[in-house]
Amino acid sequence: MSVNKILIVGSGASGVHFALSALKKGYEVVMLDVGHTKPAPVNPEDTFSDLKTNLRDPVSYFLGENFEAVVHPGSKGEYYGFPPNKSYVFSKPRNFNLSTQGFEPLLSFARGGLAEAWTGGVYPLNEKELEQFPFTYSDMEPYYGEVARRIGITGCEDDLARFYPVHENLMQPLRLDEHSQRLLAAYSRHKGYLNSKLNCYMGRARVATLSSDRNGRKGCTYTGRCLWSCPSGALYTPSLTLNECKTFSNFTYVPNMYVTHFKFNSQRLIESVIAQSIAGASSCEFSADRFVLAAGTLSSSRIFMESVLQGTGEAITLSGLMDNRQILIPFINLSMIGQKYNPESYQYHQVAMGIESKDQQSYFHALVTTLKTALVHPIIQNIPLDLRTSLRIFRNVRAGLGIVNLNFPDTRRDSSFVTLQPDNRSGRSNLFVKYTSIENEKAVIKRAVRIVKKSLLKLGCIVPPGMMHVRPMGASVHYAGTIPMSTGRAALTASPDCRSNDFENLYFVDGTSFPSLPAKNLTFALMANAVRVADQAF
Amino acid sequence: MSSLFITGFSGFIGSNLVGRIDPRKYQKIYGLGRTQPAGPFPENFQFVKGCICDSQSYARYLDSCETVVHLAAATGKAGPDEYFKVNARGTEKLIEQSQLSGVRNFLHLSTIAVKFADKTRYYYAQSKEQGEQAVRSSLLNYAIVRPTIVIGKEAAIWKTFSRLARKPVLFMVGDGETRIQPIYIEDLIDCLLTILNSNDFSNEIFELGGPEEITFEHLLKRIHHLYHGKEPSVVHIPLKLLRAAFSLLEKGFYSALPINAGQLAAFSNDGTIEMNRLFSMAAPKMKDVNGMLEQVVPISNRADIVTTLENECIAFSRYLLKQNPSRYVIDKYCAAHTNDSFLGVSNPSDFDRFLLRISSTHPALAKLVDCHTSIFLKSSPVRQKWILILAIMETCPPSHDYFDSPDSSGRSLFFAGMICQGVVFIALLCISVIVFLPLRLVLAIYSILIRRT
Repeated sequence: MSVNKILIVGSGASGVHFALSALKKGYEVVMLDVGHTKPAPVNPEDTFSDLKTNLRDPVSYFLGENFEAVVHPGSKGEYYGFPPNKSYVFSKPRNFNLSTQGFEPLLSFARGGLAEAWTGGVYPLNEKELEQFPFTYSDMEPYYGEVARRIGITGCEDDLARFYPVHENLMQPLRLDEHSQRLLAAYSRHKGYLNSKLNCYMGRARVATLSSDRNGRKGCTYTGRCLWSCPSGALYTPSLTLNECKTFSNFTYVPNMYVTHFKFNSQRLIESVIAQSIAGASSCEFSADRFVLAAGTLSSSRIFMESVLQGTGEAITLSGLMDNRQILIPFINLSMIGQKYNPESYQYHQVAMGIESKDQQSYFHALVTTLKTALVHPIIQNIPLDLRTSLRIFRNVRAGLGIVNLNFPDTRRDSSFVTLQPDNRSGRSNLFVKYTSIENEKAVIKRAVRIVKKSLLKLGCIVPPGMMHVRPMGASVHYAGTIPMSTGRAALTASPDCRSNDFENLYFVDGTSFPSLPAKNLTFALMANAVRVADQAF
Repeated sequence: MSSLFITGFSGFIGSNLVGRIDPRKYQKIYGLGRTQPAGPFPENFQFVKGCICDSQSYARYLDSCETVVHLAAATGKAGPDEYFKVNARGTEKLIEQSQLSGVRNFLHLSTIAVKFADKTRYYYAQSKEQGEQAVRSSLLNYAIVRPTIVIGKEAAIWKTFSRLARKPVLFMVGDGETRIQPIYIEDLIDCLLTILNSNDFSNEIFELGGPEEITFEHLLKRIHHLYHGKEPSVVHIPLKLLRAAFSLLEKGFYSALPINAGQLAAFSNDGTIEMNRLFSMAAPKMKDVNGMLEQVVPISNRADIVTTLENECIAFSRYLLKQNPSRYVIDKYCAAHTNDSFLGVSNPSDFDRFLLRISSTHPALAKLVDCHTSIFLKSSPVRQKWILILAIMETCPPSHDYFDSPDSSGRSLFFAGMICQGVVFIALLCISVIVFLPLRLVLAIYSILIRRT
């Protein structure tokens, strides 16, 4: 079959990198997307502190027109209010409905997808973590380097290289803030104990933020506005690659389209995709030679199941949904108490921690963020004292506050699945997601948390009692595994090059096709895999 | 399953009705209008572009409909010809076509003005009366609803009342003693749904007002009081004089006048209802005048609440940050209380009210309440308000500096201070338990008893 035209659903991290590779190979690429757009940055040159002074209405900027970023007492606790200027990332089209059990997912229909609001963590999966994949690290290595070249990744070879392989095109790390410097200095002093007794290793984080100017993008200017949307574009977001795709004459971007399903013929070849216009209720049909689902695991699964339902009348269930459990562990660095905090620094994690189980079979991935420009009222209200005392304590310990985000791996299980449920009222079917945790999860969490607490104590940090927060499943936004890659040809699986074993001209380049989920942030592996598929299968 | 046909679906009453109709009861809901508004609408809603005066534009949609809800009308500053064209002849055409298409039931929205004794030059009321006549002489099963003044945030009449009443001096047409019986929009919609859902089309006229009668002057005075916290000065304008002036001016400047002479009839004819079974059934659940004003006057504009909120903001800011809030902070604090997410604070329990009140009176009491709520009532209204103040003040100048800098004491003094603060906290917590827990119990029992009586 001669393939000229490829249709991609979704403009997230994997979709845009697949598109860029396919465009460079000369394919005609059409991308369908709901594509909510981000607002223009305000006062791009201002630092975080300047914004509070220079904006005409700073409260509306930081808390939202309707105070939606105020974190109320008793609300399900995160340690920061979500910036109102990023709310577009999670707004949903009217015709998307979802019900869940044991899972609180975040979905994005933004231009650039969920990674428009990410924290830039980019960690390659190593040989061991790719054991259940139908390819090895050496197959992936060139694509890690290629993605690093495209997006700009800072990092270095240190103790964490035993967990994160060093690939090509790493830039010099970002400038460290003082708190992170002290943590790494303490690690150097106590490395022997931490490595040998706790199997805990620390080093520089790998982040998709430029440390110097590159390809027309500015290096980090340390304005402290990372959480509030990087105004300079130093922190990579997929919409930057989407803009690069738009410079190709063989690329067509069609926003405001909510894809419902595809149509296939009796030979199970997909002929077209049906999408509804967001502006009106009209349906549109788009044809192509090959179809690529890159809408994110949950949305891609929905489109796949709806297509089977529409084409055959069969309601299917896709089992094996995975997600990383995340635990937030706030800490105070005692050596920083009484210091004035410096908001003009990189705000997301600059230090990472890798913890291995004693038998070296399990790896837990932790990101250490020194808290600076997040809103403070959500933290103050979590201190188990009266607010006035809490505020006084907070002011004095602010420079030494930090948070460890501890990630756990996941595996495919039949008890975690996605399916469609009929909605009698609308006549459509809604996505239903059910997640069941692993049996011994509590014990695993307890062991890992104990190691983190001991490590922090050795670094001169204490964990205030009662403030640890177990995030609900779905909060990590690392969803995967509903149509896994394998070397077999079973139904509801994909080939090693992510081609559907049910439809010959359908590909999954998002997390849908990942057969296992290591503890690391998934996005880098998704982007590299998308480039691999475009390179090897097209 | 049959379909429903609605005229005037995009108007004030129509949009409220469409939003509350159960779409599962109908195969299709057709909405007749000239332009399609944005919605949202139920899944089975279909817009029909047309006009009631042109029956060809909608005739084929009536074929599958058992019931027609006729809400479309020319109102406000329409010219006399327009009133009769739409309200009289348009209704006649709709009825004629409904009969031809096999429609069985007809719900007609009329007006209380139809029964005004004096309708001289009041073309709206005259035309609606002719419309009613057409309904009554048809072969359809009908229900005619005559609402009084309908109050709702988006109602044109409410906007006019609000504009008039907010002025420092109240200009009252006539003696102000004309009696009216306003009805809240949601209560009117409840009544219309009762007719639709029970298929109650037994050729009756239902006059519908709210549960409270009030004079025009008292209503405007109450609105004024909500906005300004005091009684307004009232200037009465003789009705006869005004009518004569408007009658003269209408001849040359009809379209330029804010109201027409006929509309002044509302100031001389009582707009109250005759008792009927639909009203008797619905009245116990209806909002009285104060209830509906609470819904339509934004909290941030209500003088009594604004004063309380401003005092709260100042007291809480002094307690938490030891500084007075700027005007900007006070305005933001008040504005947050109009937001839905803070409305829960508007209905606190008696104990919550008590904690709020004493926290605003003295920092020492605020500290006691703070210790208590930090352990026992983490989501209490007073704590929500404190968190709101912190959120506002950390994000704007000059107060954000307070959050950004440590206090001047050294590290060892800080630790010593913390130990003292911890001891004080535990002591105050114990005192608060001894004082507040019995009080909370008493107030809870008291409110249960009050509710029972």
